[in-house]
Amino acid sequence: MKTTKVTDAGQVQIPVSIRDELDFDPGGTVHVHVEDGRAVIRRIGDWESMAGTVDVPPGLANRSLQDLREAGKRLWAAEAVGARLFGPTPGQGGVR
Amino acid sequence: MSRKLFLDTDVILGYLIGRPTDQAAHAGALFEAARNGSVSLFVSDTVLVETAVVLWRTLGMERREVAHHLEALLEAPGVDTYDKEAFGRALDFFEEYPVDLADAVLSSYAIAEGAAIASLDPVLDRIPGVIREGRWPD
Repeated sequence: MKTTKVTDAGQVQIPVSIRDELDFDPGGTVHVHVEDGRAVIRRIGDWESMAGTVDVPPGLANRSLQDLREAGKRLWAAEAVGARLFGPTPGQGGVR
Repeated sequence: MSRKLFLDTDVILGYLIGRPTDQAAHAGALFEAARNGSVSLFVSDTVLVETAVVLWRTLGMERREVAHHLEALLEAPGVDTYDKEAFGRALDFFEEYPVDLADAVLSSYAIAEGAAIASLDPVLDRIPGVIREGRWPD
């Protein structure tokens, strides 16, 4: 267990061993939030390394970017209108 | 001062998906230009929400992954939006509660303003800090 003090400005120093383990680089940005009464610090992903990393399901592999946009909007609209008129459908809107 | 460009959804999607290869290459070059400071990229809430819809609903990405990708976009060098803090909070709401990103953005902005939301949608009541008014007049 590592301990660290909180300064008047609310700053804390993350021990080197933890920074190394989690790839917290100097100047990098982290996300801080509360989860079950604990402060959770998470490194924000590097946009540069995300290029080309998102998979398209096989059934949509030949669709253009415009087709993907239109499909998303249709699904979203149908769900949003349906949920407001008829209530949520099973599995809709839940945290997956 | 670098030239400002507003990003459209297809640039973000092309970059992440990596195809069509020519469009992905253009998108990559654009983000590289933003990184080296020759352009500044501005991404609006509507484009961020539409991107989230495609990643989440069309491509089946998990909420958490969607939020993390958009978070990384907003932290990329040379990329800005109207209110990063408010949008970041919206991404947290989207990740944690059963709302779509449009509702999460609405909630985050209302909280930032200290204002209630006029809405008929009770799902907003699940977001801490949201005050919803669903009847008029009270």
